[in-house]
Amino acid sequence: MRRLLVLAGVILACIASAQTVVVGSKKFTESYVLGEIAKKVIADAGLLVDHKQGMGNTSIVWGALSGGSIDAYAEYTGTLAEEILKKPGLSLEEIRAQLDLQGIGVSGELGFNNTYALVMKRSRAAELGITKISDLKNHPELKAGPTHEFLDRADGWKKVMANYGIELADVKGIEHGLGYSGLNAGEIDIKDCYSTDAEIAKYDLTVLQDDRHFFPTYMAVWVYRKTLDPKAVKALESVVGTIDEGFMSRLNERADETKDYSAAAAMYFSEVSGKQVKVEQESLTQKILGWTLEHLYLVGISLLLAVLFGVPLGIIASHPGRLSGFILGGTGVIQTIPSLALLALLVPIPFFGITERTAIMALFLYSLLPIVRNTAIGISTIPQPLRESAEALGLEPGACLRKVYLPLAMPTILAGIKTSAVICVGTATLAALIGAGGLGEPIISGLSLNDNATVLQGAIPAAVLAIVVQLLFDVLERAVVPRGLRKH
Amino acid sequence: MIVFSGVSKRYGSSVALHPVELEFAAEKVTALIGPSGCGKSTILRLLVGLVEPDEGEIWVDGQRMSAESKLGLRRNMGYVIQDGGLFPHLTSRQNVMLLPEHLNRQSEVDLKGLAALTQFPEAALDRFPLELSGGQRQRVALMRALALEPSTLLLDEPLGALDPLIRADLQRDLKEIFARVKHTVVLVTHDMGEAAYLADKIVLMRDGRVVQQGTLREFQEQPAEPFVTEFLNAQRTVVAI
Repeated sequence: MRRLLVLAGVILACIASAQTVVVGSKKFTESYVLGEIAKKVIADAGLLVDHKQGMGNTSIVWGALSGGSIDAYAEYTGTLAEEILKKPGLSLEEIRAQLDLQGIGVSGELGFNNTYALVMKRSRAAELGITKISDLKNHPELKAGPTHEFLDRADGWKKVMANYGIELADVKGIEHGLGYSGLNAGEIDIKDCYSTDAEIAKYDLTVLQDDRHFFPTYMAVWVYRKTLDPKAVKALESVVGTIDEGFMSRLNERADETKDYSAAAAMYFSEVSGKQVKVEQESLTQKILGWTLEHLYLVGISLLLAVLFGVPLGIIASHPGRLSGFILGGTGVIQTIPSLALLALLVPIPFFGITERTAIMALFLYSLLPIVRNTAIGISTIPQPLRESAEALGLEPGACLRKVYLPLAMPTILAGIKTSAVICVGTATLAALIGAGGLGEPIISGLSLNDNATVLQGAIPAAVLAIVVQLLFDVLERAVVPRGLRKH
Repeated sequence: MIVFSGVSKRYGSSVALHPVELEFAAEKVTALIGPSGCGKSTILRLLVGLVEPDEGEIWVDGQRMSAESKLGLRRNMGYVIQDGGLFPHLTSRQNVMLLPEHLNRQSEVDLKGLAALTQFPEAALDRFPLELSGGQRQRVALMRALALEPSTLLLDEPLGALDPLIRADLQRDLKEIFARVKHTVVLVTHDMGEAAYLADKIVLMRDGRVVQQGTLREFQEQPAEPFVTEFLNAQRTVVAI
């Protein structure tokens, strides 16, 4: 028990050591790359900085920013207007004014617009003299292969064509990746895309100019907490206006190709400064160590809380009665709530939100049942003659508990804590869903990028950790359980 | 001296003890005997405060047993049950010293003397109960009960789980202990021979009532009712086989 406390203390001290700027990113390549760029410029400004990669979708990352668990990330004006402020069509100035009221700052535009676009192979477009969408009017013979989604959307393909007054004879829905191959092979001439897709650089495609401004604008900007160090804000502003669509597409391509976001960031700095820049990448060991420490921190704190609350609850529950039924029933019900649902239930509660607190609370609740139940069982199954002997000896109820009941129940209680610890190590991987970090971070970002190597960087250490925790408890058991209670 | 005055006890609808008047003389050994469920163990549990009487009062050395007084009274009693009731997580020494250390009175305990008195090998003091024989466990339980020199010693079938040879040994040792340390002893047993050998007075019980009190000779010569003779004969038959 004392050793556990010391361990938890050491981990806490490690994590809370310094004031660090935390940059976040959403779960897709471009957001990762921009996060790495932000990390590098802030570090160059002489500040400590950490990048929480691939925290989730907009609502999660935005929640983390407004809740204060991250300080900055890259967002798009269209998303800010539509999803965050629910007022489509706001200008950058209007967005800035409204977010200012929430304590959030918005930088200038980074330079590129990541919106829907139509693309053609550069050579084919040049051959036909097409540079903008309205040029398509003169080429009804072109074959189009938009994605099914874009074809079906009310504001998709049909609306663009109607808006521009274009009619193409041959339009067939094709899956996004296959569509790019089709464009490259010349099987189709035109398709929809996002204007910074890596494939644009990869296949040397040209984005047709949206000369009637049909598509909404999604200009990339930095959003940051107003409390952020002015030096960091200045560093972020230095990126403003330096990345156009083509550049972003090439950066995305580099990242996709290498699965190394810092390599893409290095490419950015090299091209902007005109000289070779190396962006320090944390070694794999460092990264895994970092995740593991975060993981242990989450598990340690939750487990400590679960022991502090679970053992007393178990002691109360060991006396048969209504209260016992209530405690055991209540902790049992918590256990049946799927872990994802529990997180989702906690997030809307004001104190919790998208923070580490939510993850710790959820893990704490999950760890309770085995500890409470084993404590209650351990104490209530002490044979009657032993209980009565302790009482008849003349020990007060508190002394009976401390000197006789708890030591006798110790093997069972420890087994409960062990079960909780192992469950906790596994469940803590889900904490990454709400940006609380840990070994779930590579698992979840790897899954969303379809990158198995990254998944394994989290999955293997998590599995090893569970086994190590199990072994540690076996050792602890030998140290704590008196010889007289061990099986001979 | 211990006095039961009009004490009764029921568990749910079954009566464990009808209102009873009883006296346990100071510094004498009294044996409670009778068939299973006669109420002899209930008397002992009432005495040590593990259960509370429904009616009546229990007085121990002039002090009335109550929720407030029971802790103090218990600390002046030694209690030994059938399988010893030793705590398996503590060594013999720790079992004996548990209460004295809790009360910070360990200097009053003469462990060597206790071991000699109960014929327990000192070398085995650091063994755990599971590492001892049944007879040795009872000796440790006796040491624990006697550690703070209580004025009352309560024994609930202390030899019930032992095999005959060890049992005879311990009976002899108990007799000696009773003679050397002047306690008020209450002994629950189902063996008339043991009761007659160890006790100054025998209390025979049946169905929650006292049938007769006295010595074995009085039981034989002036049985209060036919059940007394029946009980003695049944015991004799067992011995005869």
